[in-house]
Amino acid sequence: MKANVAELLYQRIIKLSIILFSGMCLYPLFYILVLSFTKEREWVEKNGIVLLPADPTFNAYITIITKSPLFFNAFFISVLRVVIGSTLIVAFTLVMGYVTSRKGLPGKKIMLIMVLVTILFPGGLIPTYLVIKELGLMNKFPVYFIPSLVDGFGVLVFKQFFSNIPAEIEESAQMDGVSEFSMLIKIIIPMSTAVIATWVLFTAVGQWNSWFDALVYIRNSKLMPLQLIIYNLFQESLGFSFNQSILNPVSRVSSLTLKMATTVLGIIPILCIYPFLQKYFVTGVYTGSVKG
Amino acid sequence: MNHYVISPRKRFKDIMRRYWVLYALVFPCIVFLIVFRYIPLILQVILAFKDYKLAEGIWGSRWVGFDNFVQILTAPEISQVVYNTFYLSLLRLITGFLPPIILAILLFDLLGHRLKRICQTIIYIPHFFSWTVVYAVTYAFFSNGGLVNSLLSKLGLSGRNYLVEENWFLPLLLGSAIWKEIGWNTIIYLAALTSINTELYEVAKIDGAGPLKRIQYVTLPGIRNVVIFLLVLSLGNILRGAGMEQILLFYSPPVFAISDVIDTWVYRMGLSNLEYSLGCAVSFFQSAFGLVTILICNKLSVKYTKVGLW
Repeated sequence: MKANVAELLYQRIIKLSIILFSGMCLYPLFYILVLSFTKEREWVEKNGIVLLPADPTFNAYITIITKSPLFFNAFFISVLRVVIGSTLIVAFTLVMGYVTSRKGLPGKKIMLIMVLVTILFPGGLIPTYLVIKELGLMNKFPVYFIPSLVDGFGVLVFKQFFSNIPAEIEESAQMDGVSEFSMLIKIIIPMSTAVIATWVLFTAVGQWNSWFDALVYIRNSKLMPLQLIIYNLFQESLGFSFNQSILNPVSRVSSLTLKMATTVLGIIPILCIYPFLQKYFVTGVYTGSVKG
Repeated sequence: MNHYVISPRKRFKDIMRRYWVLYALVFPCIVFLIVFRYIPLILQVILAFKDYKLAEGIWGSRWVGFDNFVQILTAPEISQVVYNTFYLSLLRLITGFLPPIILAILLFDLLGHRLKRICQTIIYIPHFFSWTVVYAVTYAFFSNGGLVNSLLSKLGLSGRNYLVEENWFLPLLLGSAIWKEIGWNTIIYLAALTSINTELYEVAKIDGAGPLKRIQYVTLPGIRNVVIFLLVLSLGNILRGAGMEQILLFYSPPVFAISDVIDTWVYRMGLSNLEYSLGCAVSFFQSAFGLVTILICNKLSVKYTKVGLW
């Protein structure tokens, strides 16, 4: 009887702390959403304490979407780097993972060591910058993916996964005279869709979220991705602002609201693919971190 | 037994006939690795021992031996940066390590499946956001006109600009990083927890062990190896674990003294002030140190947990 009380109490406590914790995860997001709908007048009247906007407005979003060509452009660049970047990065990484998983291939050990060294001993920012400058990639769109085409960690994960495909399947294919290339396309890839999908999604998220490469390599504002625009928005010293003088003062939104609305627009694509991510990431992370 | 003597040339021809497709496939990858990984690596070592001047080029610049490294160790500004890197990584390690373990155990012990699934869906989300989003959230709450200051002033207390005050900067940096990664970091522990034999729990219950006793005697021993492995791994990454992207967003001149770490310093000095050689020397020191520590830590991990990196 006493034991049951303890068990019950324990369940209550963990239930409460987990709900509390989930709230802590969610509330900040909800709050920036609230801010993005708040009018400047309400913000001032309530002394900056707006828990729910009494009179929500879409003006921040309308301003960003209609009055800021920079935003549209940045959104497009981000989408483009997600699509092109993830495709190419996963293709290169997968190919290298496949080749290094082939049994009996002379030189595969050297290739694997080459990959391992790049993980353990990265080249560093300055020399990489010098190489990219020398190759003429500065201020060019391909700089978003060319310097990271082969992801060392990904190679190891793919290699591990492909090595676990039963040898009989490959042998019988070889018996039928299937070439190495069509083996990759017709047998290996269809058998590995889950791990490939995981990797595509994670690379896509990484591409969407990154801004540091753009900060270093891109000067042309037409090539800036959305995350860099958000970064610039918050680095006030740059004096980056939206022109909203056209709006009438009653429905005016503050620069804080504009910042938050831009951030929300930067989050939405992630939330859209999150259900797919969730489907794959547990297996992906597990195979990656334990066996990698 | 017959020994066929195969000439090296014939052997090479055979290998090529059999595997040429694979070599052709991997060739671009190898070229990539050489151009974007190995050339920078070599360049870094060379520049670290030179006094690189743009006008003189890489090969024309003077060799200076260990001058750059001596400067790292003696210039107070750089040793401060190295110290900050250690200190911040260590703080991150200490503050960020326990929360996901606790959360994972709570989630694992939670009986309601629905609640568990909903919570797991929620707590993984922040991991997929960019650091810019994390900064936006922090800014919304803690900037001059943020929610915390507004609430304080309503209570008649004076607010402060938390983001530029030395005492508040580190807690904000560490706290927001925990917010982003805690849920995600539970995954590996949850995976380890589900591999614990459930009979152990049944037996413990029959023996009259309460929830806390079960955690102590079944759960914690069950995830011990994963915990040690991850701890050792992050110790090995101590000079790289300061979190450059987050700091670049969060810091400002008033808090440079405590928040400037190797990676941010290399970015500012190297690319804005053109201190290429010094930057390379610091990076080289960072990489070499990282390599040695990770090898040692991996050895330790294999010794104590039988789990290694390779």
